[in-house]
Amino acid sequence: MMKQTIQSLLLLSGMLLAGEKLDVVLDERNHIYWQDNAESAQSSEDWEDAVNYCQTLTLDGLKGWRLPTFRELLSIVDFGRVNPAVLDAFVHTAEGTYWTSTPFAANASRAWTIDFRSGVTYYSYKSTNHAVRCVKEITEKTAKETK
Amino acid sequence: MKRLTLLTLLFTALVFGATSKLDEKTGLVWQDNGVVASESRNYAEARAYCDALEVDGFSDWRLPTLRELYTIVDLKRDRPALKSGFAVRSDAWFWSATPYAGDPKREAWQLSFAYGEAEHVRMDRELRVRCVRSQ
Repeated sequence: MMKQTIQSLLLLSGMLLAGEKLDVVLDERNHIYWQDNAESAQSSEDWEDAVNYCQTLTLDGLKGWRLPTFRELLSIVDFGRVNPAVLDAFVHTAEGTYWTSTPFAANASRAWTIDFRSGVTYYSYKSTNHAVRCVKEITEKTAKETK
Repeated sequence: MKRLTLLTLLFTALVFGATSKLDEKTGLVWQDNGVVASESRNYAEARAYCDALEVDGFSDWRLPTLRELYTIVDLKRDRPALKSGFAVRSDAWFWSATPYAGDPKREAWQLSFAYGEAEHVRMDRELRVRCVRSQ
């Protein structure tokens, strides 16, 4: 599938990687890959299952995924648009709320979320089901693999 | 005149402590005096207040964007979820300058320093204001 042209100079789409890597978006500023396939729009997991989902995910042959931190997820919000309020580089986004790995300081049974319909940020109970978009560090090894 | 300004600065510093705070990580300077915790304004008033503000001899203050406001949030803390180093530690809702794209004429983004959550609200709501300037 064709990726959209990138709005932010800081994000490069998967198209710029090796030809097969079409389900990920490369984020050079944060030095991570973002999952961007059909599942990143359709997933619905409680927080623990979201953590496990990323840990077991294999995408374009890449393993070692994790939930994004709040700061990482906030960095792909585009407050200049809604439904979805996400940067142009992303193709598959749910009309709903996404999990982050960031704990809620005041209550360990909650964690931070971002609603990509608008960009609203909130601390949801971990038992709630939300969508998941995993991230993965760009290691030297995977960087070489993509060449 | 210069002497009077210096005396005023000294007096303000004695009464309120520092009146602004430089965040070296971002290069942003934040208003940090008593007004931040005591006065509320609607969105239009908040913008006008920052544009007219003179603190520490500077007049180029403005209302921060939502992203700028998030640079002083510390999610490891709560009530307030505010980085260390600020003298004024209000945990109220604060205005950002960022309009809400879903209704940009009537709503803008607010951030709560109780926990660090952000929502869009009508611009006629009265919230706290912490102005910012670039170093």
